[in-house]
Amino acid sequence: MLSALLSQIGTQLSSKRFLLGTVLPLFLFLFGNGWMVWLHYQPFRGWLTKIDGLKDGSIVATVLLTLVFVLAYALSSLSPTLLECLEGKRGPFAWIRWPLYRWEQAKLQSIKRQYDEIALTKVLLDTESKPETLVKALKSAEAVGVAKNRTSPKWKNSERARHALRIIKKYHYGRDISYAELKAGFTGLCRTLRKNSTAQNTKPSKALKKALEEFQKAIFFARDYSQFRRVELYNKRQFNYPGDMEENNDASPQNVLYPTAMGNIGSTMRSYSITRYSLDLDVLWSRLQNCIQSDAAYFGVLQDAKVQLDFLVALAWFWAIFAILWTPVAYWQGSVPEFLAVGSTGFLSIVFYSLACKAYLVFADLVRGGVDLFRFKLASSQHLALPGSLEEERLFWTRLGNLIGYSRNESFSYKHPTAP
Amino acid sequence: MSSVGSKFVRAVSLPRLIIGTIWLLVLLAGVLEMRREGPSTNKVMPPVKGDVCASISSFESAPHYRAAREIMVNHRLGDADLDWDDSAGKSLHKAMFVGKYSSCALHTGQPVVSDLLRESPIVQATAGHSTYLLPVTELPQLTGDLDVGSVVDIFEGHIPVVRKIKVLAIQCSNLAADSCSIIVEVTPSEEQLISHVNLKIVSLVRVQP
Repeated sequence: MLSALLSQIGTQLSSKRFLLGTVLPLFLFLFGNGWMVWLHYQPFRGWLTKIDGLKDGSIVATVLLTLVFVLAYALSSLSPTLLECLEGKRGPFAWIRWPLYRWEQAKLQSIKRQYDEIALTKVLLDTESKPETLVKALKSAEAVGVAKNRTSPKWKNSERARHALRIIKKYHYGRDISYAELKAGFTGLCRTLRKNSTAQNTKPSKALKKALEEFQKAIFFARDYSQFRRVELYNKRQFNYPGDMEENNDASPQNVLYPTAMGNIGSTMRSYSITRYSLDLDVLWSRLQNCIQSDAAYFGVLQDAKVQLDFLVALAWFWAIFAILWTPVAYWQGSVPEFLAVGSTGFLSIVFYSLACKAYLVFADLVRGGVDLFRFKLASSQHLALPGSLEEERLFWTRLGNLIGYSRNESFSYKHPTAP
Repeated sequence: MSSVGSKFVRAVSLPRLIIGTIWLLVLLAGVLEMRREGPSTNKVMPPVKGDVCASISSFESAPHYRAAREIMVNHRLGDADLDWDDSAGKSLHKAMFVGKYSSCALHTGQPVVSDLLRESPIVQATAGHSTYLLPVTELPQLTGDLDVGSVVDIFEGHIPVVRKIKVLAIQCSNLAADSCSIIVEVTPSEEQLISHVNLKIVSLVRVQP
């Protein structure tokens, strides 16, 4: 529903956005098809070569250009449908939604699992094993070893030292370090330090000293990286999937996933406004868009993001259609290079779908920003008093949604603007 | 799932990976099949030299004659096929065209240059068929009525041997076209029958395709 409403962000004909978002991909598609027809359909080639002189050429060019614009206009009205098909709400992805849904669910569970693991590391490093405590323990172990006044030249070969060296390597390459790995490395290094001195003027002793210094840095890195990854995973979760990171037992359509990545990204817009403010974009988007339009700069950015999305969605579809249509023709009538060239456009479709997902992430974030920035303007535009707190606001939007979207009986007092 | 495996799956969307892999396999199978069929493949309209058929307009400036009628791929050019009065071809000899085979389909009025022609036809039977060379030296008058795409019945005397056989090309050993063979497309069972025909008393009857 929201995807279709979002098409209202579309623009006037002849604007650069219409040209970029609709005419250009259609032109590329028609050009590609024209090229293939030229290669394989002799009468078309004969007809084109017969067009001679300025008069004929001008007439044909005018007719073709008009045709392109008519098709582009038709395509612009088709763009919400194309988007919904990629979202898995209808069309081919909806027909095979069960396996796709399973995959999206597994991806979401994977993010949650990683988040839980990394959050546990962060908690344990903040409480049970603070980096400062670990460093202190390492220094104590070092002192014991120094007193022994000897260093085994093969200290690196022991299993416990290897645990520590593995952590140092992960730190050098910026890879995530789990709490269990860090603890194992810490224990291993402590034991190594207790048996070997870091104060001798020998190569193994200097190497152990260096390992100790690097391990200390790795401990702080593990703490910082766990925080970094935790935020990253949280954002990934909330920007790519509807609903909350924490389990929510309340009944909500936002807990249900769509079968495609694009569908779930699209669903985050509605999910965000519902979970934050209880504002249902399905019901209130058209009114909110009117408020966003009052800020030409913000609406311009929103339009640009939508144009980019429409452009990539159109190209994803067009390349898929082109590949399915012409690859068999190239097989039967063309050469191997031509067959491969035409067939490889099928991969372009996948590439453009992936790019469209990225563009949708940007667009969805702008819509979420629009909700944050313009929701009070929406309330004022309805001549309603602004809520005083977040709790009041949630109740306010729920009631307004009930009234506008579902015709339920709600009581509101108007607050009309005073005449200047 | 292993750590490396799960990281790979996290980085690459599995459905996209599956669709991409299936498409890649389809393309590879297509390439292998095309290579297996070999370079002599002549599925519908393979130009003999690169894409000469795709750039006919570029021949407008070169010396040429124009096609006097619609000409199919592998058609053996005869006197009536080209407009010999075209001034653009005054420097060209008839012998450069007559008896040659068109490498691509040509429309009436299109320029014809020797680059578009080849010395012999290149044919390939469709799936389940093979080609068969049937000498018709005893029937020179018949070959004049036949062309690529003609469908014929073959009789031995008054007895029909095979029916509705498609002619792929007509091959002649001289310009006068009095010593020709037709290349036909036959199934294995038809090939069996036709191979036992006494070629001295064979007759062809052109039928509606």
